[in-house]
Amino acid sequence: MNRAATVAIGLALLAAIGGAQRLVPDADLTYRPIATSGVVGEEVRVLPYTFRVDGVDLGRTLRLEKSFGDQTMTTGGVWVVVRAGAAATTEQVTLGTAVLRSADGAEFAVSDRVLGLEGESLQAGIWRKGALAFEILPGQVEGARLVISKARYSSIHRLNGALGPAVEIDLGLTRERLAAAGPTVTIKESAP
Amino acid sequence: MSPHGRGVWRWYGGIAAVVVSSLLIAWPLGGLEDAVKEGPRQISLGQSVTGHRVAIKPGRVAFTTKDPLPWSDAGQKGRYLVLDMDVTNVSPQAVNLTELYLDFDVHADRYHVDPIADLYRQAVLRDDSQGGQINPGMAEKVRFAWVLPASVSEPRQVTVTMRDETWEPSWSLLGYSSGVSLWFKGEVMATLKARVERG
Repeated sequence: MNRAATVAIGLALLAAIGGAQRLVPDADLTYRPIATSGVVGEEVRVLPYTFRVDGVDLGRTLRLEKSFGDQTMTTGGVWVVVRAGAAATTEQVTLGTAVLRSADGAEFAVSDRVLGLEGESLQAGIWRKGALAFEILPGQVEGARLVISKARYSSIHRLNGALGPAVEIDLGLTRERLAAAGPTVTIKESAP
Repeated sequence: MSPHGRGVWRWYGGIAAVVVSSLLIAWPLGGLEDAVKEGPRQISLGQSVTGHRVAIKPGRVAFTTKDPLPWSDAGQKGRYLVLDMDVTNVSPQAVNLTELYLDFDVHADRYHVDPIADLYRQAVLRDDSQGGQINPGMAEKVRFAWVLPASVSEPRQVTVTMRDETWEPSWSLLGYSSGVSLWFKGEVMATLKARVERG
């Protein structure tokens, strides 16, 4: 083989290495939590717990029923309240981190103004019902999905969700659902 | 072609091979781009600055003896320095106020406000409640409040530096990106100089 061909093959191999490097998925994709998908009304079972969404309500304001008087809360967006139930599989666990992931990938954290189901202790086999309250921009409601990851056991604290179990629920949120949203959604605050 | 001519072409070929192979190696590692660095912007009250995570518009700096973020109706009297801002989350993830707070460094006149020891509270203000996070795209009113020690006289001017954050892969000890992306402290994006009002 002459020298020119050797150089050409060498350069082609270098280009191929560069191309292959670009095709390697990044760490965010490689180590993302492994999600089990479901829809409203369906029981979704992951290692730490079983989770089910019973319904979704939308409103411009949130009325929170507390032990010591009710409170009404406004938002710069719209309230999305996910009514759900969950039961631990074998040991006490909390749901962990809950977000509404919009169609464009933005992640809206569960509201820190409301104590919701995400922080409640779940016991093995005992269903606990509650709500997850989110504040989200109206333009992001359509197609938003509920994603719950980083389950927290009382025995193990593993805040990194890499390759851990996750639940992803299609909430069936559409523009029509948003247009039909009531002025106020009412929920009962979870016990701390 | 003469032997001399062949030698020249061999040199050209060698140089071209070095340049091309350097590009082929540099390209997958992130290219050869090098951003032009600018110093932090000097801003005043009412001017906004946008980083990778938030856009900040400082609105007011005040010294007050009235509790700026009371837990109860009564509040707690003290010597408070208060910074009010409009903050918009421009990132695709929620911003925790505790993380945002740590991007700020404050001097009240010559006194360096200790971010831990002097902190009173920080909160997202709404008419009906207070919170601790800002969701993507949301514009919120944010208040930081510090307690000034008795030895520090009432300040006339504050200098506040605001640090940007960047979303980057975490790095292994071997020096290559191997972990999931995190928000890292970035460059100082703006410095606010403002007079302190009383009230």
